[in-house]
Amino acid sequence: MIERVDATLVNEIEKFGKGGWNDCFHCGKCTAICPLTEQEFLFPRKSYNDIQMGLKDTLVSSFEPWLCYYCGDCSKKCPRNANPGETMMILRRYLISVYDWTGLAGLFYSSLPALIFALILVAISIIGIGFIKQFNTESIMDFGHHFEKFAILGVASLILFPNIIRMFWYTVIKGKIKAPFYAYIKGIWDLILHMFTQKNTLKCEDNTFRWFEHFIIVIGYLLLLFTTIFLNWFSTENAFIIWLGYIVAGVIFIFTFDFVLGRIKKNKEINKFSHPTDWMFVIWLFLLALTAFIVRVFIDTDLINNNLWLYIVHLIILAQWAILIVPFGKWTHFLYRSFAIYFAQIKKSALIKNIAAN
Amino acid sequence: MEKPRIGVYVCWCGTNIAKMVDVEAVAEEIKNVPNVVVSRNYKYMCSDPGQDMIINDIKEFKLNRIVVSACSPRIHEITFRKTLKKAELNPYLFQMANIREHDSWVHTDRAEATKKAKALVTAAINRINYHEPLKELSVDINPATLIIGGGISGITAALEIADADKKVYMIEKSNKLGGYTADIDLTYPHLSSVQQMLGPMIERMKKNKNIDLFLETEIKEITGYIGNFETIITPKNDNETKLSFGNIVVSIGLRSWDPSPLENYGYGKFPDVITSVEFEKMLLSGNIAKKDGSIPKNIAIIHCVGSRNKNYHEYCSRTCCTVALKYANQLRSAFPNASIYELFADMRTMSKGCEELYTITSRKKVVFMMFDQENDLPGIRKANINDNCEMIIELNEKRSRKFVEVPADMVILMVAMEGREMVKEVAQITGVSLDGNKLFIEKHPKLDPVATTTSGVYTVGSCQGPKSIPDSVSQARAAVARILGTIARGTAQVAGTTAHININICCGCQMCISVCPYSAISFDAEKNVSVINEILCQGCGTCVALCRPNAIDIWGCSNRQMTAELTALLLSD
Amino acid sequence: MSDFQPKIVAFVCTWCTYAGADLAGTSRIKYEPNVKIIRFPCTGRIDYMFLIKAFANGADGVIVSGCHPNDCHYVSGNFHARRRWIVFRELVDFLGMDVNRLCFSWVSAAEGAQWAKIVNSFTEEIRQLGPYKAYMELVKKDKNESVF
Repeated sequence: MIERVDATLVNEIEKFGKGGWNDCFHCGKCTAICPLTEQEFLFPRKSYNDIQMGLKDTLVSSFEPWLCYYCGDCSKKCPRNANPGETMMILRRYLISVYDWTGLAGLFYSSLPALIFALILVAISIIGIGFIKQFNTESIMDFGHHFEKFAILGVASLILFPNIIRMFWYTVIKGKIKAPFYAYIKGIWDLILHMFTQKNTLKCEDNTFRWFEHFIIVIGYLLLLFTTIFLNWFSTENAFIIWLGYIVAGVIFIFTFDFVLGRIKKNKEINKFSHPTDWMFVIWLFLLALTAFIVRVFIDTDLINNNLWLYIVHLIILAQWAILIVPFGKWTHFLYRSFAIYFAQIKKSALIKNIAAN
Repeated sequence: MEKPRIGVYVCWCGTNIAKMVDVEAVAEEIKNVPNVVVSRNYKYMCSDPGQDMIINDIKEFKLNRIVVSACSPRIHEITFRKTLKKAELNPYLFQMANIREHDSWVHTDRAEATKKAKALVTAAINRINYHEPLKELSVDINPATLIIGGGISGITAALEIADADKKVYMIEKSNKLGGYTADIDLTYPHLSSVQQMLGPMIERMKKNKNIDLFLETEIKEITGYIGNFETIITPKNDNETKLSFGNIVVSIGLRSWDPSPLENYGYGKFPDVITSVEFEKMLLSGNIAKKDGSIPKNIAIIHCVGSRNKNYHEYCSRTCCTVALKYANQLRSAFPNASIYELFADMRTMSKGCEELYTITSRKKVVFMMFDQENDLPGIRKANINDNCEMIIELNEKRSRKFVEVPADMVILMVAMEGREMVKEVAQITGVSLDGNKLFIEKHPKLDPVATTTSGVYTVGSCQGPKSIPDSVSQARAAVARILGTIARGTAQVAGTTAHININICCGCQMCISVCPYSAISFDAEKNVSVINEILCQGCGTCVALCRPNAIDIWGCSNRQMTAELTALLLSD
Repeated sequence: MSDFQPKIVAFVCTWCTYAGADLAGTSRIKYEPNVKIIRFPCTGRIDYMFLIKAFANGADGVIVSGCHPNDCHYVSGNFHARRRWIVFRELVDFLGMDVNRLCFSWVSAAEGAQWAKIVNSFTEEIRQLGPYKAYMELVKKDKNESVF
């Protein structure tokens, strides 16, 4: 089946952000200077071509947007100010909406009112639950603890896992990648490695500190999850766990605060353009860690019983984070990205094998 | 005759000649040729220091013959003749040896090229021994001008000349003025109305007393020479009229190419595949619609149809890329939600403001796709019912290296511009040469782009090469400046290289009279000899070669000169 | 014989073939250095006695080239040249000279490549024929040392 050109696809992609695809005249400078592009995956220019021509099937099956770590060099060097870096970001949003079976990702990305409505709805639900629990500190904190577990389990099994399967369907099956089974086994280690380290970021120039910050946040975030859910930070008496929690929460809100500042200052290429969801991601993570920190301080100072509202605020932020931001927002990058690298490696080896066979 | 004292100057032309010809060796060796007094080599003979060198040498060494061995005489013969004039030497005591175009640029062996250069220079030296001072003849200029073709170039030229209070005869084949420009809606890149611009010009044409307008008229023959041309025309519904004029402006323009031979585009087969000219008329009428009257949702514009294509026209038609961008803009204003596709081979938006138009257009959601003009042209087929469009363009997109299908309800073919049907006749009538693409050849491609090798004849506008309106207008004005200059001077110098008869030898056979294309020879019955009118004679030399008793010779190309050149050329080799 | 460098003279008109050869130059088309051009205002000017003189002075071949029919700058000079050529060729043949050493062609100002092609092919033909010794022998037979 020969692909059909469609001039209207840009209207759809435009909902995910204003990219400069109409400005690009294909000089190829962006691809030439990109430290991550390779023979088999030439970007950002190729993606521009797909957007301009409206080649939906090609776009949806492409890994290129995920292989980009947005160092911003391309945007700095672009002679037409077509902003390739931001365009790749927009494409990631678009692809998340394509992979997402619920359709909510697309809705939240393209409509700020819908997102705000959903955030309010979650907040009201939490307050409602507090009301049902008659604002009893112990039972509400107990609910919060269990909610975390179920939210993680539910989001992973009902949304993220099916979405990964859908990603596999669009990219590997529809992209007609024919690779032997052992290639999938062989790549698993890389998949895990990339998922937790995102080490490709380091290939970008002058990106070591940014990678370090991200790495610390990811580790801190995972540790925070671990301490709150499995080590039961809010109710433990163990001094080590308490201090561990304090440290990781502190680290997260300090580092995320730096991210927020960066987006306000806009002094780096990657910070120049901020979609509402970009703001939300850093602010919510900041608030999450900050409120967790303060809640534990209040527990340690026995102020929590008189200030239950603080825990409810934390719980609202947690619920919004877990139900809305994690499955439908930027958080999923680390998941899709690692799988994209995993599939891309398989595609690459299949391509090389094909060339060798011919 | 005084003894020849010859100065020889071998030019390096930077590295153009010096790279392939050992100019120093050439200059050194020809010092031994008889009568050579000075032999020099220099970087650029045509430069001011180069010319000054000649002038100084003429004065210092009392030179009376100059040979310059450099580029083609078609480029710099006039330059050096002026140099001789400055040094108060007759400009015809000069000869050029072409060691650039005919030697250094076309050969690859330095030794061979040097040997050839020596032979050419020696031949020129040998020949110049027999050069004689010639006087240039002065002819009066008839202040009227004939303009052939009433497009934007012709109209501009006519108005300019008429405004200077000189007579203009405007010959136009069709029944209206304006040419192709009259069918254009908006100009690029500013999208301003052509009609508002052209309308008043045509009105002025009609009202101006200095302009005689002959519509639906063609020219059969022009006789004469600069300053004194003549023609007889038969205007429609009118009697034969004899026109006399001093200069001619040829502005016959180009026509649009019929793209039927390019079968892959299906012109003539699909009703909604139209040419740019047809679409322009559609824009002018204000109604953009398919043949069935409905509005097109998908519009494709295909560039380079018949241009830059070895099988049709190898040249670039120059304006179509920007016109196509103009169309995309006009379509976008007319249909804000339509899908507009531009299929191009290379985007060539030269001229002021045109690249900017490309940028503006690309920001209007116009999809640009590239095709391979040389090997893989797009093809159009009829769409199926469920395709939701009229036609499908099959395209091998060059940038993405992907075969894709482009939906289209209307396809606009940006067709090439080509020579008009009567271009050969016009070329013959006016004595101007055409190049392989049926475009008029200018006198010098860079330094003299409106004049031709025939004095008094100028070619302006597209007939000299595809052009935009401002370029055509500039050329028209440039030609007018030249013409008004000659009119103001009142006379023109014509070369003294004419034929002459030795009445002591002439036998009165009158064969020369029968071959002269300019009727420059008459018969003196009293003396029983032929007589040549020097003004009418153009110096072709046909009578010279024909004269049985060898009574006729020609100044500047005499039998002795040619024999001397020929023998030296062969013997020095 | 293949390294024999023939001497060839080309008699051309200034408007078409000379300009065409100039174009070959500006287009940097490479060709054999054996042909040397003599410029005439028109092919109609070319007295065919010049061709005989060329052979008498040691030319191995001769080219005459001008404007295509109907393209003559002087209206009809090339037609006269063509007529004369036909007669001349027969005369040359009658005299026992080798007509293969004569070449007549039309090259316009736009045909630089065509000029290079003619030069190369004619040079090669003459190279195959070898030096034109027969003409000199013909001259020697005539004690007056002149055929014209």
